[in-house]
Amino acid sequence: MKKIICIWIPGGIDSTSKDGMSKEAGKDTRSVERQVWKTQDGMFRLARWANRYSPLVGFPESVNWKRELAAQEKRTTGKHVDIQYAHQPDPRAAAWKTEAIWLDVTDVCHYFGTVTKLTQRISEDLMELDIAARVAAASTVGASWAACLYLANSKVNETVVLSMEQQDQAVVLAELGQLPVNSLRLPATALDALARLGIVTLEQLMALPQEAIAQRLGTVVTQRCQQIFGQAIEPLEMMYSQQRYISEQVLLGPIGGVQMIVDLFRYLLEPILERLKKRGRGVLQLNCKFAVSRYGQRIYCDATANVASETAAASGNHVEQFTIGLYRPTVECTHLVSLFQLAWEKVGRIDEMYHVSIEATQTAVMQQVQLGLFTEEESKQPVAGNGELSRDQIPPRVLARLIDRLTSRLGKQRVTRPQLNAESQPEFSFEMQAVVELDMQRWCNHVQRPVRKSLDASSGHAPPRTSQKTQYNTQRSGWALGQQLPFDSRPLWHWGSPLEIQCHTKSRTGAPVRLFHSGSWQQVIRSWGPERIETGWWRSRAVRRDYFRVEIDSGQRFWVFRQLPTSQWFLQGNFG
Amino acid sequence: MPASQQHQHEGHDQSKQKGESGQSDQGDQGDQGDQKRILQQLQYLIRDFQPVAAAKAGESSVPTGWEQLDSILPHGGWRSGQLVEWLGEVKGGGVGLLGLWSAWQVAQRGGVLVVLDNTGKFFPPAAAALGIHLSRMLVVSPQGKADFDWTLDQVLRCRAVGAVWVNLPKIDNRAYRRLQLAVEQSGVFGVFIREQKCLQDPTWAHLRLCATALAGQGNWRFRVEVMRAVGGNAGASCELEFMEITNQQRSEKDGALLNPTNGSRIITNNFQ
Repeated sequence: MKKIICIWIPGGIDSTSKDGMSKEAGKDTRSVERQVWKTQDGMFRLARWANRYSPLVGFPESVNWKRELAAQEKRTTGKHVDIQYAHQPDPRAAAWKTEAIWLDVTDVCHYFGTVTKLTQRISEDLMELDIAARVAAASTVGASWAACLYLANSKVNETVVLSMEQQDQAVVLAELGQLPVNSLRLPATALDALARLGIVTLEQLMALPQEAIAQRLGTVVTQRCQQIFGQAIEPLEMMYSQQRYISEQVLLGPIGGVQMIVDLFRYLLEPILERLKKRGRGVLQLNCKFAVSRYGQRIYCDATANVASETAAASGNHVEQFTIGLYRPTVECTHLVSLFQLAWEKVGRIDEMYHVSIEATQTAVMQQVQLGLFTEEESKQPVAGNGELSRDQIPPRVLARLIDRLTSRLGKQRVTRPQLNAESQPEFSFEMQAVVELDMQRWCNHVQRPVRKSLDASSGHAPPRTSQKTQYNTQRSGWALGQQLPFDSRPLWHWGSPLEIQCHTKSRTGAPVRLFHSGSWQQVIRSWGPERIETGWWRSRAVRRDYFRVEIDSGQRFWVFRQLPTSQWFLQGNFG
Repeated sequence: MPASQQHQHEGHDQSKQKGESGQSDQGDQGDQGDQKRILQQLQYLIRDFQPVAAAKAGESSVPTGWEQLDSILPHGGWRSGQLVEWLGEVKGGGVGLLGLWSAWQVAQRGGVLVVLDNTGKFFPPAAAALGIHLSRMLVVSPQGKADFDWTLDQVLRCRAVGAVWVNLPKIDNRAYRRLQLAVEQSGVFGVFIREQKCLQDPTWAHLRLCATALAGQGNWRFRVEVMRAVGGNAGASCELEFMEITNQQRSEKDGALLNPTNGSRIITNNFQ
């Protein structure tokens, strides 16, 4: 009889981790591709970690990660309404595809004592890593998953071990019989059909004739029933651990300035890049760890007491760690070194360094590039007589590298692209989208092309016009986006929190005639408006405002509004 | 004969004439005369050199949208690899809008339009109303002076950037010179929006324009004065009028950008 252990990380490997396995994952919710890469990578890293218990780690089925995560994202955002089920299945029912791994410990569990001890040890090790997981052992893949899903409890570190003896199948049936049919790893349609028929538990399902079930609900239901009780063999597809690209160096302590660190980084990085080049891969993420000391912390702790040293180690004071992320795989040492320098500038004072570790935690297949007759440097020389490359001839990687540098130093949320929303309230009329969420290759190609070919002197014809809406945004809709606004209808600078001002108004029209600005009353010589909005009732309270553009006697223009019904005046922007 | 050589010959002729006229210009007067001649020759050389340097880029200039402004700019419009300073009232004076419009004119030729917004108050719908494609815009929000200076330097050095628009309050002289060299090398068009009070500060910009909003005259009008122009004449001025046009309209004939002075295309402002 086989002995199978199932490890389930509820919510995926992204959400919980301490050892850097998944810190970056789970943030780019819009980019399914990126999420796929990260989740898949996270699971592979978990599998590599689990290899310490068993060499046989895998999944029961091959997973289309992209499809599964896209479906998962749809479920999260509530966009899975194209299929209406009478009974909504448990959302965790499909989690086995992307959030769980299985270990075949049949031949190795005796090294750890018993299966129970091994399961307990895995659970404790995961808890030490601060990963909330559910661990269960059984004789089949299906039974271990069912136990994970409904019997194990991650909060109290309780593991479940079902009976694995052939003659104890009745006991297993009794243990699993009360579980819901959701534990059978069935598709949503089959679960919906079972719910319609009133079949809730496995015991109810097993009581029915198998032929009738296969005929009415499909063979998948009977197949899963046989698999969970060991009547049908379910082999695991093994995940072979990926190659680690890591380079380490132990140092004596004192360091000789930034240049020495950079040289050391280059020295450690080059062998990694050589190995990656041979495999046609490039670095996508680089994790750097440094055991350092500031102001003699480490020396002091080591010299006085071990307790103090352990405290410092536990608090992580002397381990500096940062991640360099890229948006295109690269094997160019110079580029990576420049990114490292940017990241290192933020580390602060370092007195001594004892250990350096650099690991390419994410790699990807390099884009195929046609080989030329000349070297890259020679190819960069302009051929045209005017001595300059035109903008659309500049390769997209130039812009991608700029984005890499900016995001490395400033952070992802500070390098953005604006996008309009179909909202009337100015505070919500746009959003800033992090550039990292874009398809970098496509966006770079888009911005490098001229808007109109007619701008080039070489082309002598005017291109066909496109509508305003498609120029701005082809993927969004809404009447507010389709409006043709006058160029000076919106201010260049605006305050998210409007400033309250004093204003005198005309009695009939309500337009402002004087406003208090820069410490004195200013005469309003012209005004445009009102532009009334009444919106936002679904957020908290309805917002009712009358907007005016006003020009004061010095020629400056401001954007003010009157709050209704209180008639308070606010300044929300100026026209640059 | 190249113009510089011609000037040199003229200089020699003048010295010969002076020499023949008598022996009176000796001593101090002779030294002053030599200095004048040298300065004159240098002036000719510099004047000849500037168009050559400007022509190195090999690009045609981008029309500003106003003929009267084109006529007072050195190359009849904007050029890549230039730093342009717009001085004026930043709080509502429209100088930022003029600057953004000029940056977009150049960025349309290709390359991303970078907006450096360290205050977090930039309002993208204003750019959209101006006809700028937000999909081609990159808004970078550095925090702190060190990050701001570093970011400005980085974006001005990147060849893939078409234009950079930034509200620049104060800048070190050396850093400014570095930025000038950066744009000359990369071909990026940099637009700096600055307060009127920065008029007293030295500048390394290729163009320094001072814009003043004129109140209460029909459409939004500005008086623009050229305060400094490399390869051109400072002191010229003109009046501009920002009128309502349908965004991004171009001439059917030659594809040129229709500017606010093309009367037949103007749509009146019927907002009120």
